[in-house]
Amino acid sequence: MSRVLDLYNYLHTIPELGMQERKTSAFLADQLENAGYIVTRNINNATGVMGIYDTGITGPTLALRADMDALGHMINGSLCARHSCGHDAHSSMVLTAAENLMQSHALKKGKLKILFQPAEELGTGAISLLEGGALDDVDMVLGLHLRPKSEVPLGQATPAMYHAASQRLKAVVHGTRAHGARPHLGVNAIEAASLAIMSVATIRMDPNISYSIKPTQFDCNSGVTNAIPDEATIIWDVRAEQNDIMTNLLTKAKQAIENTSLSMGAAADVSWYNLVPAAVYTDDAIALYTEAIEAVLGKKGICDPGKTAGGEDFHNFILQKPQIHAGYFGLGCDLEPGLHHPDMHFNTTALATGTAILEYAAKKYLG
Amino acid sequence: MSNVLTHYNYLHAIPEPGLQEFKTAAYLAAKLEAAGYAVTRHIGGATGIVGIYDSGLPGPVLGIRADMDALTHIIEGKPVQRHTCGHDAHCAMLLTAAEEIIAENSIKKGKLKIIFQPAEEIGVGAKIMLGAGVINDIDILLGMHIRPIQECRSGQIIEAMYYSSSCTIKAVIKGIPAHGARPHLGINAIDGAIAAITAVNAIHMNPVVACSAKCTRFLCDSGVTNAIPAHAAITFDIRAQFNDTMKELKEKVIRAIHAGAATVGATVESLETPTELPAAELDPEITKILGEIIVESFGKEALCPPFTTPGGEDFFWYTSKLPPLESWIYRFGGGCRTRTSSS
Repeated sequence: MSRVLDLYNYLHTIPELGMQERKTSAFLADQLENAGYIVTRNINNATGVMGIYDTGITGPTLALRADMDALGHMINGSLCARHSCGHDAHSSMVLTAAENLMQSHALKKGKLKILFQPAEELGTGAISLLEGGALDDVDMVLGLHLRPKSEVPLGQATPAMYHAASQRLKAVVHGTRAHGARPHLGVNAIEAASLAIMSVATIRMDPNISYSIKPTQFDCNSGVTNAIPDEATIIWDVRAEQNDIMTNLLTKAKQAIENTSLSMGAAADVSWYNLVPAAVYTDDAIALYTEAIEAVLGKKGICDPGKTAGGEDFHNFILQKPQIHAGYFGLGCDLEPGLHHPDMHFNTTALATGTAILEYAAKKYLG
Repeated sequence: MSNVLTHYNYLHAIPEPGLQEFKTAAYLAAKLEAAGYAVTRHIGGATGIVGIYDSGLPGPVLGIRADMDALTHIIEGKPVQRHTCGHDAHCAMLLTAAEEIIAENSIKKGKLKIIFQPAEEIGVGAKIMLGAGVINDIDILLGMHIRPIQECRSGQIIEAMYYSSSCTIKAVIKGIPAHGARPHLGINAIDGAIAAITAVNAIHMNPVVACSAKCTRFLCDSGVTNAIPAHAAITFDIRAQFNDTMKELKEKVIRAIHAGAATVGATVESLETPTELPAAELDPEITKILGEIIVESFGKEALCPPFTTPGGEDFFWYTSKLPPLESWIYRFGGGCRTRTSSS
């Protein structure tokens, strides 16, 4: 059995939810230390781990990042953690690459940082590493993710996965309460909220760039059904391929909600939260990963860059530190039935492939 | 000396919630029997009472109805029954009138039916009495209610109270769930519900007839905010001054809900009317007679003209179910609402 498979098999048995990756992070930190890295645990008072190897020779700093958390699923009525997003695979590939790079003395210049981040699924892990200073001196950060079979088959990898930006938009619409027999004395919050939803649905953006804005929650319950309700809360799920499209979309939505509410004599409080920014990669990182994939899988192993409306909190690194060069590859592994499905499974022979791609890229950059 | 205050004081002390008017019904039944009525208890398996006095001579059947139930209030954290709608007063007045009519031997023809119904407040009492066939042979039905000071002062009587029709429609809109990143693979139940509400808001009715239909509750929570929700529950409060207006409005609302949901490919998984009260349908001839009686008994000053309220009264289930008859003798409906006088 290979080292990467052993690591994977172990991590797979100890799935832990975001910010609670205690066993996982302790194990990864111990292994990094054994391999010769200077390890920092509990970054920013959370479960994040950083291992540093400094060649002592002038050169850039490269960070390889993997996420550690599992997902919570309701299975037979009880909540349990499962690695249905493959973060156990990501951590085992990055750790194996880190070990191999040390053993083979392949790094000739600069610094290598191994980053194990918590809580990707919660959207708070990358920010926790940023706040802990783990990205402060980084020149390039590289990430990776398993891809579903429908996107990238086994034996192939894509040098860039373009995740969309996603965010939640929330509006609290305030009307005026009245008796059901006297609707003219009130302002119905449901009617104002309905107008707001229709108005938001007519927002037009450049159709060549993918975006969407959908109401996903509507709560209006005054306690009785024979009164005109005075407060309704609506939440939209907002996605956009690019960060500036997201900003424009939110600005237009706020304008639409506020003005439709006003048109009825209602008022709206509009806010947004849970930002996951869109992917922004640099050409040098894409070229680096392309070369690495070709070296490991051959020319036929290179898949075109993939687009997904799914989000990845990795992109907070670039949003907060735009000077960092970033790359992110997607690994084909015949993953089915889909990411986040409680029965997600994949061909584990791809773990060795992913490890080799990471090693190649690091050697090329710091060799 | 009238018994009305004695009856009232007794009934006022034993308030009972709808369908649990056990003591109240027992008291009223015993007094009716003592007065000479043939009494039937537990109408339709519930607490309703009917007392019949048959003159033995041909003639119309007159029904007079009072309601027995009290309201439940939360007082200092505990549920407490109170006669805050005056049903104790209605029962005391009807029982006393029933006693006095027999004592004075004033019935010369036809039949008198005294009806004490349960559960007016929860809207089921009249339906139970109807289901048991209580009004099948009735030609004229009379009811009454005490009124607030703003509508009618002590010493005054309104000859006809026009209650409005009201109804609640609850619809569950069904779509197809999908991930928030793949809205094209699902059908958003919120979109369907909004289309339904918009379609309801676009209903046009005759503007000279009072009516309204408003969405008053909207619940959609799939548990997460990053997924296309598959179910949304919307409730409408619908009111109309007349029953035919309500019928037209209700049909249009139901059609709008179905068609609105269909615009996005959603369906109406369920549609129910948890509460429904018909509007008052009063016979103008009876109203005229009641007006004359009021003037005769209490003077011209006492008479107040017909009054319209957006409130509801389950009495009008009776009139909505009475078959229309042609002969003037068999006119149906009628309602006198009086404010009690302490004199």
